[in-house]
Amino acid sequence: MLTEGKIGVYETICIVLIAVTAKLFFIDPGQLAKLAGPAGWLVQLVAVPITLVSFLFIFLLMKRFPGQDLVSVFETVFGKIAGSIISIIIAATVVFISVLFTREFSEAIKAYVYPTTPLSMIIIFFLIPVLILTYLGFETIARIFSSFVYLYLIGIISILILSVPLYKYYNLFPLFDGGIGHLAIVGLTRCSVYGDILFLAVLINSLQGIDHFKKGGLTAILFSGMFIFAVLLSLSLTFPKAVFTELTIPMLALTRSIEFGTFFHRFESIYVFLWSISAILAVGINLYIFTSIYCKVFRITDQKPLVLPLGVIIFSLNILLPSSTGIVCLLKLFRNHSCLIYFGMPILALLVAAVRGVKGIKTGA
Amino acid sequence: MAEEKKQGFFAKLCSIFAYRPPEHDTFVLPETGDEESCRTAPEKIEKSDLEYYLDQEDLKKAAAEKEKNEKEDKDNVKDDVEVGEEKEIKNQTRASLFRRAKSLKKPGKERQNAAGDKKSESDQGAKEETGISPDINISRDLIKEELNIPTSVDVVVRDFKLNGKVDAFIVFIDGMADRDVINNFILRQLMNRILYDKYDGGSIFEYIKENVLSVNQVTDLTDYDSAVTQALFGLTILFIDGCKKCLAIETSGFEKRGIEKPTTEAVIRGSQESFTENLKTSMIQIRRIIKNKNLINEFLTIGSADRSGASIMYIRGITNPSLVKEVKRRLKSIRTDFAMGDGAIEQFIEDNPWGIMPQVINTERPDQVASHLMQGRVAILSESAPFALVVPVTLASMLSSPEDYYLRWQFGTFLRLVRIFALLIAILLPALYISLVNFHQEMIPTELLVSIASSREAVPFPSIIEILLMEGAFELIREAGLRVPGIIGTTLGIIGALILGQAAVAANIVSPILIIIVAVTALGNFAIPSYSLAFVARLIRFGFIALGATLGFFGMSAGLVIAGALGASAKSFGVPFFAPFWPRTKDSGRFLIRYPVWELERRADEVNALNKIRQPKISRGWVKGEPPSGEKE
Amino acid sequence: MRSSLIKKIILVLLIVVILPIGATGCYDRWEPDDLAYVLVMGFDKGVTDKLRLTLQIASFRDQGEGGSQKKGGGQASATESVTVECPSLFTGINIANITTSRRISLMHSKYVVFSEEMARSGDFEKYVIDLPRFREFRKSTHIVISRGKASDFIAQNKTFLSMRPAKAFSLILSQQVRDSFLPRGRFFDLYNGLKSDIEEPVAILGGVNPLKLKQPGGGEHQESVSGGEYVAGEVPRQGGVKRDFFGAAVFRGPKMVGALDGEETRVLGMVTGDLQRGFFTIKDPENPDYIVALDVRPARRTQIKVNVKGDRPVVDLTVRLEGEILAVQSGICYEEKEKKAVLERAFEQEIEERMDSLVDECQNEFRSDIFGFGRRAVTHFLYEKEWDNYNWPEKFPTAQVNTDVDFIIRRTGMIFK
Repeated sequence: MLTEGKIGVYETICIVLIAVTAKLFFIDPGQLAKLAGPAGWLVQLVAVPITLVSFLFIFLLMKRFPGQDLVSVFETVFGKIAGSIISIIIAATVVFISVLFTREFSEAIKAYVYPTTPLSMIIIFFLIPVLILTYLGFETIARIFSSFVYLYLIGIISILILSVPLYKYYNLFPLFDGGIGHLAIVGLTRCSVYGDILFLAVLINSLQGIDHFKKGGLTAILFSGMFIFAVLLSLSLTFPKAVFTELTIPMLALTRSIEFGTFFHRFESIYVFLWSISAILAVGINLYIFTSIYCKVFRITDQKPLVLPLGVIIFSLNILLPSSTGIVCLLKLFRNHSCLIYFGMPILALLVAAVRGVKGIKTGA
Repeated sequence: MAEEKKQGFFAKLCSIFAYRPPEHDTFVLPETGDEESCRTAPEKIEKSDLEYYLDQEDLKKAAAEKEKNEKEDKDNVKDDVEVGEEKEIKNQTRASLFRRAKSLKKPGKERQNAAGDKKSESDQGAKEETGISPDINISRDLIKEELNIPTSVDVVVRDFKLNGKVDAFIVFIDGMADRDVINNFILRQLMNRILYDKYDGGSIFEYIKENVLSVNQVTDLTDYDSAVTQALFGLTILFIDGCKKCLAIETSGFEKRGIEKPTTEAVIRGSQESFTENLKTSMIQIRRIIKNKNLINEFLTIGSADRSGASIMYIRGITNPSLVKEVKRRLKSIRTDFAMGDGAIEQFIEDNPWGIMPQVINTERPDQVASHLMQGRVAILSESAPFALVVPVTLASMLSSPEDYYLRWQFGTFLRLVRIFALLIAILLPALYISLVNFHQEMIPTELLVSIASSREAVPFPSIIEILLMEGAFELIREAGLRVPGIIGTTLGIIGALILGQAAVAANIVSPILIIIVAVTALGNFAIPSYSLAFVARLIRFGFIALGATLGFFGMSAGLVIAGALGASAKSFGVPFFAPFWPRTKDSGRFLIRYPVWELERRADEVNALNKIRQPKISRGWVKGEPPSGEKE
Repeated sequence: MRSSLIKKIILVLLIVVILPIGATGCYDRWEPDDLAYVLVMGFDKGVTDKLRLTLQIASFRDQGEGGSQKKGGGQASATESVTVECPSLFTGINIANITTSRRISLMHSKYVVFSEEMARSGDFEKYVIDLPRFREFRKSTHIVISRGKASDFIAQNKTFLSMRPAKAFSLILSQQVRDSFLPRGRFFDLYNGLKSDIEEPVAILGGVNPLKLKQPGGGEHQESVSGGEYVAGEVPRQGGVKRDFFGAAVFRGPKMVGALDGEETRVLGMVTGDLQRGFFTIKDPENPDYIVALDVRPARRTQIKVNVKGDRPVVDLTVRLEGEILAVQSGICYEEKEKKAVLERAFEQEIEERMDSLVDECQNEFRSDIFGFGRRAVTHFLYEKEWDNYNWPEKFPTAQVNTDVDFIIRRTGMIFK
């Protein structure tokens, strides 16, 4: 099997936090604003509990099969072939989301700083570090995540604090926009954003035991929930609804508006570091998860030979995608419905296991 | 080669990227067990431990080897990777001495024949038990041949008779051995008949050792190989007719440089001595600082032709024994003819020669080595270089200078932060500049931007060429400053930089602001305490310039992730390079903050020392005690 | 083995060497001297085409010689301007590129000037709403409405006291806020006002001042009481540059409907909280021949309560100010407790009157909620539909506004009688 090394709760939280919240920096908040107006932050109050409940189901599933990762759980529950197919479906989703994320990032950065640079060049420069991360393996990824999280937090919190003078509380009103029921439905689909929590179930053997899994997962969901809540709230506070909904990249617009004294303004370029590193890391962990599932399904012991072909595939898929408006449609689809796969499959597995009475073998004490 | 020729260019290109599985397992530094138990009963390392360790390795390899080739000779398991032919050559070199010893015994004609059928003998040679011949003539001939007498003029073989009866000779190298000792305490004693009065006909060898020689250190040797080696190290070897052993008498004493001030790692406060090229002096310098019985000093020879010595130092009871074993294993496995001092050894033992990060600390300060030893690291001293190697290395230890610990912790912390800043400046500043002026002009204040633009008006090159020109010029100044003799060297650096910069600006080749950038970068580079780390910064700076010039901040971020990933995956003797920052340990703050000395209760966690406690929670006992009641006036 | 090692090294070297050299012709790389930095943009209605675009560009000419002093006041050309006729801003930039021989960059623009003619017509919206789509344009740029032509305004937009136009232009509008004869006229304030229905935008009013003071005895003139009752272009001053900023342009939706003079702008600032500090002059309440000067700051944030329950919205406006006595010409001892109260009441009354008349003007003449009462009104609504049905822009002119000004003299300056 793959040697993946061990990580602690802290690294777990870092990985999930960045993988989940990196989506905020691009078109996601704008899309949410189109659905929920200035109440995007309230939507999280629905999405986070739903995610927590889904995670609880995943936890129950993993607890039922101690010592097994998600792929082998699927194989035990559904049988070898069906289980493998389900794992592959998840892996394919992961790859597709990585492709979309790559393209989303490239389009965003192209629109903002590099209008004439060819897209393929940006994608290549984006993919090289991503593939190196995937090549070097999980331990390195975990370390980079756990150290970058400091810069990440400093960056985000600095944005939130520096934009305080721009906050206007009346921008939040009308509070419930299209009605509470509507917000609840949006919240139900928005839990897809937190779908990356499933990665922990794939990597469960790297976590030290099921307790770490539970503790890390719950804390990570709550943390990223708080984070998304805070960022969306500050965006809603800064922009009136009519402006918020028309922004392509709201976080960029926020940093561009920051002005602090006569010297501290026009420094949004510095956040290019934040945007790009977090996007690289988020795609990196997604691709690693893909290789991990792939290796586990096909019993491959080393993910390294997969990396280069994977890179070529991601690159070609990116080039195949049409204009940025098409990307937005696909992203909407995946950001709002990937929970069906990410949460639906494990819950399905749990149901089947409960009905068929399949249980894992208890290993040791 | 023939195969490769058939491949097209594209296939060749692909073969560069093609994945190859690693050739060896990576060493992982094992965690040490419960601290308390470690403290009470530190693991005892015996000589046999090492052999056991090596045997285990061999057995493992042998097991793997068996599947492939069952007929493989067990003795040659270590050399498993080499092709058959190479293996034989090695066996020959190993066995050559014994063989020659044998052939010397034979009459002249047979000796020549022996050379002819070397091959047939080679297999026997290894297994044959050979010692020193009791016949002194054979020994003398052999030694003379081995040491190339009389071609080599500085090797002296002196024949004499013990007690006027027994034939004996000593061999030493003139200049390496101390003449006074040989004259006064070896020859005079050996030839003094009065001393043989009490000889009762037992072993003359033992008698001489016990009663005649008045030299502090003598060793028995049983084979010619080590006799020759010892002679080369400056010892005097005594051969006695009829004895199957010879005696190595410590007489080494040669001209050496005195202890001087450190030149590359100068500090203001703290010890002002540095190592010299003499291994023994260096060892003594460390021992003078750590007067601990558990400071172990093991000696190895590296290099088949130059036989340069290396010494491994560690503290038993603190250092992780696996680390010591691994260091020894790596050192012993080096097969080379000429190991040029510590630099070459460093390259032979480092984990990943492709990684750009340094994997060994290189220092000329005994106090630095001592403090590393006390942290549980292993030092390797080598002959002929005034530097010591310390493993394992982390970024934190490369950024800390002994000065940190001589100063109060507030100052030490400040210095450390300055150095981290310097490292960042040295790596990133030119790239930041090029990204700013070429891609992110909106970040520059308008007034400054307009003045940069107007100062660049007359410059015909793009900024990237400008910056490469200036960086190139500075690298030249630096290299030239090293080579130019004496004081001129240092002044050349400053004057050269000033004049060159001024002239380049005046000639409209570069813009003035760029001179500032390049100069600050150079300053940042000089502020890095470790020479090898500074070199890393010098090199990857160009990578970042390239990325910054290609895609601005985005390119730089990609570079940062790559550099971070490579650094995070780098390991030095099983210790991650970025420890204690990544992976996190209890005292990760140590990277940024130099804790007060009374707070340093634990040794560096990443070294996995046996005894992790340096001092009790309350190290300043007086805090709890009563101050003495002052005298009343 | 050996050959692949060499290959690897060569590959790494090639990448490191080729990248920067290849990058010299790289797509989005611009040397700072290949760009022309627009400091001020001006929009006028075109004659031959839709738009007449004026670009004021920082010149590199005088910057290099740093200390060289040129005499002759406004003659120094630290900036140069280009005017082109074009269908849109972006084509205009392309056309102007030919003149400048450098690529024109808007990323350092300090403010945008629209002519009043354009602002009053529907054209204004067309150009404004597309500005934030362009990546080089920043929303923190100031918006100036020029009485008269924008190109004339820019022609008089020169530096005073220094040769650094960038600094001068960025300071003038950000520092003016302190004296508060100008509104906070950022682009995003204007844009948010245009886009949302909770407030209406205002912009900075600019104009060209003839720089001629009236001769003594030259006809009738009304004596100014507070000192700020002018609009840009009419401020009585001489010397300096002709470009004038004073007062505010009031919008109703995307159209300019009127102008506020400096004094009204200050009162507006009291309501919106933009007023940081200002020197006010009122008639001495005890002796109307003399004046009293006060240094006034907001004591607390202005309280606005909007009641939307009834048919007409009811707005309760409480402005709390504090201040310092600067000058008492009559020598009356306003430091005394009773007298102090008299002065305070007088000032309160004065401000209340001005505020009432401003509210009246906005409700009836402009029909524009520039105070942002709608911001408070909206907090009473939880659902979007309810708010849309309420139709604030229609309700605002009918609102009953109760103003209450509270003023306390905290200090008496350097003299205490």
